[in-house]
Amino acid sequence: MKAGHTRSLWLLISVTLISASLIGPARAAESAPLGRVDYLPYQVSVFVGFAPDVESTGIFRQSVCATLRTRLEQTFGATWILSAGADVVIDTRLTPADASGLERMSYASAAARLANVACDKAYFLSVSRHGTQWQVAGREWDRTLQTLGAIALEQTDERRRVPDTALAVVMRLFSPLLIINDADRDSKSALLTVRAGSISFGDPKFAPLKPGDILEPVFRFFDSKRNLRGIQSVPWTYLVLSADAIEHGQVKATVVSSYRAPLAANMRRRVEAVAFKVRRDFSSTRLKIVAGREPARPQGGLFVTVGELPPDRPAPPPAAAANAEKKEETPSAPADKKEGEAPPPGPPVLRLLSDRWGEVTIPVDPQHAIVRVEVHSGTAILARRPFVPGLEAEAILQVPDDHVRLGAEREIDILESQLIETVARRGAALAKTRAAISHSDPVAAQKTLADVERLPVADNYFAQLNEIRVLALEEAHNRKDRVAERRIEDLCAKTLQRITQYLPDDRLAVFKEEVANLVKSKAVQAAEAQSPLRRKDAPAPPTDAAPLRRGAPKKTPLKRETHDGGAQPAGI
Amino acid sequence: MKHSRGWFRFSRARCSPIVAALVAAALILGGLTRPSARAFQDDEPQPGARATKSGRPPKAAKPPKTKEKPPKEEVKRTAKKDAEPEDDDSSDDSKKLGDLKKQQKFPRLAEMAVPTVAQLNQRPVDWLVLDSLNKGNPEVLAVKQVYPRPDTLQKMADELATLRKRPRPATTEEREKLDAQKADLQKLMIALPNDTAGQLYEIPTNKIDRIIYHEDLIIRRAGLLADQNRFRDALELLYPLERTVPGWKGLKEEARRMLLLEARSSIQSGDYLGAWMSLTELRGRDRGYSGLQTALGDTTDKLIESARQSHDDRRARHFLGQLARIEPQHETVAKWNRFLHDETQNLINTALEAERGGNYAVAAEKIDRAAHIWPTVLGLTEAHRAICERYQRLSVGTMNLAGDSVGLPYSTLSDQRATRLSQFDLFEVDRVDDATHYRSRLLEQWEPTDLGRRAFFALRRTRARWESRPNLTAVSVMSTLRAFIDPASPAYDERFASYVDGVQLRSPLELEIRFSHAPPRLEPLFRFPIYAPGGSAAIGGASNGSAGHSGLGPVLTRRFELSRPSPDEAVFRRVYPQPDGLDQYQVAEVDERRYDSPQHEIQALMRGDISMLIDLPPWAFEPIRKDTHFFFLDYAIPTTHVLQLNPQSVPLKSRELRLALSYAVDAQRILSQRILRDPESKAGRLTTAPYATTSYAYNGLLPRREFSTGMAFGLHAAAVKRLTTIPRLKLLCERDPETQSAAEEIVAQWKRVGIDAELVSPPAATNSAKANAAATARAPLQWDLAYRKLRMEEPLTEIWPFLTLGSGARLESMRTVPDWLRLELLDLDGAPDWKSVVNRLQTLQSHLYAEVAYIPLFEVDNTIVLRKNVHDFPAYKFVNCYQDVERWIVQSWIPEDEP
Repeated sequence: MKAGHTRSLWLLISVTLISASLIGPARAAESAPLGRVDYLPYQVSVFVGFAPDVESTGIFRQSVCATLRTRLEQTFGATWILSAGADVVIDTRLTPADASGLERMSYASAAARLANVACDKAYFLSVSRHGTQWQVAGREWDRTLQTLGAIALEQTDERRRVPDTALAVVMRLFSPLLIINDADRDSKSALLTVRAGSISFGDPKFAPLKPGDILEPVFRFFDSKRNLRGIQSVPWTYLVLSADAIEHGQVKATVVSSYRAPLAANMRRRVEAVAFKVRRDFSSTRLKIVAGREPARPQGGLFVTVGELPPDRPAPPPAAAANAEKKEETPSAPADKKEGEAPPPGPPVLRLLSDRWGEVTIPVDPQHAIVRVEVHSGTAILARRPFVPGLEAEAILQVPDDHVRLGAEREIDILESQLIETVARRGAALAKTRAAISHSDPVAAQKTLADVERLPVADNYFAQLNEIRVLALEEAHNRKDRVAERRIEDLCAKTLQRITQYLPDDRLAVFKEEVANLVKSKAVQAAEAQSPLRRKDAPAPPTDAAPLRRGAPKKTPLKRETHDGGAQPAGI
Repeated sequence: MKHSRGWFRFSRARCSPIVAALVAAALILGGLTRPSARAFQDDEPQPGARATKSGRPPKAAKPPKTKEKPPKEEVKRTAKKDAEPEDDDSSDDSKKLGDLKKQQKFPRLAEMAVPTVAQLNQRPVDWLVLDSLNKGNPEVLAVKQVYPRPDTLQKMADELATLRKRPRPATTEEREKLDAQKADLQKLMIALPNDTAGQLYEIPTNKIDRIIYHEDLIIRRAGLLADQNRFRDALELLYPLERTVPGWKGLKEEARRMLLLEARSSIQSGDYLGAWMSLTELRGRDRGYSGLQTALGDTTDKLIESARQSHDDRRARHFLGQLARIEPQHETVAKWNRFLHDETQNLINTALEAERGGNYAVAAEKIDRAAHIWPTVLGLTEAHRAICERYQRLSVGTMNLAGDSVGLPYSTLSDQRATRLSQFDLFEVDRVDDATHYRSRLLEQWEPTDLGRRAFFALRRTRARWESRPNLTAVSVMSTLRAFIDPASPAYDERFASYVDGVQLRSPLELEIRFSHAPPRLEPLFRFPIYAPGGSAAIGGASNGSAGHSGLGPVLTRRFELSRPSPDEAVFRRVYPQPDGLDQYQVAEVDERRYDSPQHEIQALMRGDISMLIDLPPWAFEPIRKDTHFFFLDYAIPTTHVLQLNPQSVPLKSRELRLALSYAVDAQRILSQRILRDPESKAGRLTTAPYATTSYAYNGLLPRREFSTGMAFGLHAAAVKRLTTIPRLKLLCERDPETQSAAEEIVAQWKRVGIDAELVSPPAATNSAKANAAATARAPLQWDLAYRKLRMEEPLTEIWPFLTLGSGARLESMRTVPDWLRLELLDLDGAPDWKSVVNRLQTLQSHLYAEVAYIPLFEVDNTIVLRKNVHDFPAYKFVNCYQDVERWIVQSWIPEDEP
C-alpha cells in the first residue's frame, strides 16, 4: 500500500511535471516555486541587432553576444534565467537595426516574435555606429504587464566596450516586478513582494530597487480559470519605496494618489495588484488638460501650479477638496479667502499657463520625484493630482468643464466693478450733500440728494445678480454639474453680502431726514422773518443745524452718524 | 563883443552928465534888489555842482516879467537904467553871480560827468559853461532846459541886434517897452533842476561862454555807450532825438557812425544778420557813407557762405536777392550771381552725366540741389524734368521718424509707418469702411474650400512694372508658414498654429493650407511678410534658444530699403529699381525729414522743400486748407489716443486706482485745448475703445465714464486704503510734441486729485543701432502707464498684441489678466463666423472697459497734405500714408518764387 502510494505519488509528480512542461513556455513564469514570488526568477531573452557596418563583422557580433551573456550572468546571477535557445541571440529581424527600428516596434509585434520563447521579459537591443561613437539602444518587453518600455540609449567610443555598454542599457531597462500584498487605506502604505527579491544578484552592488524609487501599480484581472482577462493601470497613483531594506523579498511603500483608496478596493481574489519600477527618462512631460470625453476639449489659458507634495498628507481627492472648501467657507473664515482654495501644503514651485492646446510642460524636479499639480480656473481649483514628471513624454489630465462657473465669475466681476463706481459716485454726491447741509444750503442739499437717488440702488444690483445667478445655475443644472452649482451659489452669496454692505438704504434715509429738518428750519426762519409782529432781536430757534449758533457742535448729527457708517468710498 | 558894441553905441548916443547921475541913482536903487540875487543861493546842490556851505533856502521866486504897470518911480528908474551903459548893468548882475558863487561853488567843466541814461530820461538838464579866465576848464552850472534852443545865446544876441537896429520909438511907453525887451535879451532865465518851487534866475548872457544842451549830453552819452559796444542802447537814445530834433547838430553823423560801428562789431562777433540789419539801415540814411558798400559786400558774403555751409540755398539766394534789390550794381551781387550760376551749371552737367551713367539717385540729388541753388538757370527746367521723372523722389515732412524713441516696449506710429514702407505682408489692408478689405501683392487667388477647412493659394506669375517686390515661389511661402506652425521654431506663432494644421505644396506656384478649424476670415491670419528659410532668430530679434530647428531668415517681401543719412532724415529707396526704357516711372525714393514743429513743416511745404505732410495736427493745416496747390486727403482710420496700462505694474492691479485714473482725466479738455485747439472739437471725438469708432468692432452703446474729480478723489482714497502706499506712477510718452503736451496735461490733472505721477520719456535715438540697444539694455524704461497713439486696422487680430504689448497672440503673455478675460480673448480666436467675431469683440470691449484694462481718451481725424505735382495715389481714403506709393507719380516741380 505504501509502495503503491509512493508509486502513485511519483507518478502524479511526474505527470504533473510532464504536463507542466507541456503547458508551454508562455505560461512558465506564471507559477512560482513553492508559491513564493520572491523566489521566482525572471526568464529573460535578449536580442541584439547590429546595424550593417564595416567594423560590425560576424565575429564581432558573436563576441558581443557571448560577452554580454557572461556579463548578464555575472550581474543578475540566479535572479535571471536566460531562456534556452534565446538567451542572448543576434536579432536579424530588426529593421533598421538601430534606435529608429526599436522605435517602430510595438508590444504585439514583439509578442508575436516571442510566441515560442519562454520568457517573462525580453530585451531588444541594437548596436549601431554614429561617426566614431557606438550607440547601443534597447527596449524592455514585459509579458506580465504587457508593455514595451521606452528606449534607453548608451554610447561608447570604443568598440571593445560595446558589450559593457549593452549591459548598462539592460541594467537601466530592467524594471523589477512587485506584487502588492496589502494596502492600508488609512496609513496610505502598502506591502509589496519583490519578484526574485529573496534571490541575490550576481553583482552584490547591483540594486535595482532603492528607497525613494517610484512604482506604478496595475491591476491584472483573471477569469475563473486564472487566465489573464485584462490589465488596468491605476491613474494618478504612485508607490514610493520606503527606506526600509528588503527583507524576505518584501518592501514597504507609501501610496501617493489623488484617490482615497486606490488599491484596497480592488484587492480581490481574481485581481492581482502588481507594481513596477518606473524610470524618468524624459527631462519634462507635456501635460495636456482636457475637459469632456467626446470630444475632449483642450483647456487653454488655465493656470497650473506645480508644487511640493505635503510630507505626511497625500493629495486629497476632489471630493475631499470640495469638503475642505466647504469648511473654509464658513462664516468664521476670513472674508477674503478665495473660493475652492485649500490651504496650500507648500509653496508652489511653478505657476504655468496652459497654451491653446491645453498643454503645459512640467519639467523634472530633481528634488521631488512626485509633485503636486493643481489646475486653477479663476478662483476655483479644477483638479489636484500627484504627478511624476519625466515618466512619459505626454500625459493627459481630465478636468471638469468650468466655463459656466467662470462665465458667472466674469459677470459678477463686472457687476462688482459697476458697484465700485456706484459706491464712489454715491460717496461723492453724499459728500456734497453733507457740505451743503453744513453750509445750511437746503436747495443744494436737495439737489445732490436727488442725484444720489437717481443712482442705482441695492435692489438694482440684486436684480442683476439674481439674473446672473439664475442663468448660470440653470446651465449648470442642465449639465448636471453640482460642483459648479454650489460654487456659483457661493459666488453670488458673497457678492450679495458686498452689495448689502456698501449700498445700505438706511444711510440715504438719514440724509433725507437731515435735509428735511434743514428745510423745515429754513421755512420757520423765513416765516418768522416775514411775520409783522416779529421782534427784531428775537432769538433764533434752537436747532442743531444752525451754523452760527454759539456752542453748536462742530459736526452735525448726520456727520456723526455717517462717520460710523462709512459712506466713504475707501471701504470698497 | 556884442556887449561892448552895445556899450559903445550907447556911450556915443547918450553920454551926458544927467544920464550919469541917473545911472548912479539907479545903481543905488539896484542895491536894494538884493533879494533877486539871493535866488541863486540854493541850498540844494545843483547837478554837476559842488555842495554849498550854507543851507539857506532860496528866496521866493521873483516874477521874471510883470504885466502890471510899474509904479511911477520904478518906471523912471527903468528909464534911467535903460539910459545907463550896459557895463554898469552887467557889473550889477556880476555881483549877483558873485553872491551865488559865494553860496555854492560851481563845478568845473572837467569835473562834470555826462549824465547816465536814467538821469537823462528822468531829468533833462543843460550845462551853462560860464565865461571865466580859465578857458580850458571853466565853471559849469547845470540848469533846466533853456529856451530858445539850440544856439540860445546867438539867437538872443541876434534878436537884441535886431531890436537895436529899430528906430527909436516915438512914445515913452514904446521906448520903455523896447528897453524892457532889450534887457530881457541880455539875461537868460534859468531854473535849477532840483528846485521844485520853480524859482527862476537871471544869468547875464555875457557871463555865459556857451551852453551844452541836453541833446548834446544825449549824444555824448550815446557815444560813451557805443564805446562800450552797447550800440542798441546808444541808438535807442538817439532814435527819439532823431524824431524830435532831427536837425540837431552832430546827431546824424553820430547815428550813422554808430550804425557802422554796430555793424562792424556784429561782424566781429559773427552776427552777420545783425550786421546786415545795421548796414541796411545805414544805407537807408546815407548810401554813400564811407565804408558802407564794403561792409555790405563783406556781410552779404558771410551770410551767403554760412547759408551755403548749412546747405540752405534758399537762404543764400535770399541774402543775395536782398543785396541785389538795394544795390544791383554791387560787385558782391555780380560775384555771387556768377558763382551760383556756374555752380548750378556744373551741377546740371554732373547730374546729366550721372543720369547717362545710370546713377539716377545721384542725378536726382544733384539736379534738385541745382534747382535750389539757382532755379532760373537756362536749361535747368528741362534737365530737372528729365531726371526727376526718371527717378522720382517724394519728400515728406514729419515730426517723428522711425526709431526716434529708443527702448519703447511698443512700436509707435512712425515705426509702423517705416515697417509698412520697408516690407509688405502676404495680405494687406486695402480699404477700411464698415469692414476691412484686403488684397495681396503675391497671391493671384486664395479660395477657401471644404467649408473653409482648406484654402488654395496661387501665386502671381509676374509683377506689375511699378511694383517693387521679388517674384516668389510657393516654397518660400510654405517655409514661412511651416516655421510659424512649428512649436520648436523661434518664429512659432501660437495663434496661427491654432488655426493652421498643415501646409502642402501643390506646384511651384500653388500651395494648400489645411485648417484645424475654419477661420472666420482668411486674410487677417496671413498678415505677415514672407521670410527666407534659415536663420535662428525669431521675429523681432528674440530667440527662444531652441536648437535644431531653423527659424526664419531675412524678409523677402521687401518694398523699400531704409537708410539714415542724418538723424533728421530717413531715406527709403526701392529695393527693386524700375528698369530703363519704361514709358512711365513711379516713385523711386521717399525722403522723410524731421521738423520740430507743425509751423516749420508748413514752412518747408510752402518753400517747396517737401511735397507731403503726414502727421500735421488738424489745427495746423487750417491756414493752408484753401490753398489750391495742395490735396488734403483724410486717413481712413482716425488716430486713437489711449492710455495703456503696464501689465506688470503692481499698483495698477488695484481696480480702484485704475478707475480713479480714468475718472481724473478730462479727455474732452485735452482734446479741445491741446490736440485740436478748437473748442468745438470738430476733428475729434471721445472714445471708449483703442480702435476707431467707425470700426465694426466698436460698441457704440457703451457709455463713457464722465470726468469727475470727486469720483477720482474718492476712488483714489479707496485705492490708498487698500494698497497702503501708492508709489509715484510713471507715464511713458514717446518723443512727440503733441503727445508730450497731452501727457503733461494728464499728469497735471492727476495731481489735482492727489495722484502722484511723473512723465517719463525714452532717450533720443542716435545714429548707431548698437548704441541704442546698449542704452536700452543699460537702463530699461520703468513705467506704469503709456500714452499711445494707434491706428488699429483689424481689431480682431490686433487687440491681443495691444493688450499684451507683444508682437503675437501668446497665451503666456496674458498671465496678469483675470482668467475669464483670458478665456474670452481665446474664445475670440475660436469664433466660427464673422457675426460671432463682431459680437464677441463688442462684448469684449465692454468688458475691457469695465475692467479698466486701458483708459481710452479720444480719436483725431488726421489729414495728409500732398502737393499737386503728385498723382496716381489711391482714390479712396488712405489706410496708411504710403499706400501703394510705388504706384505714385511725382512730377518735376521747381519752386520759382523769390525767397
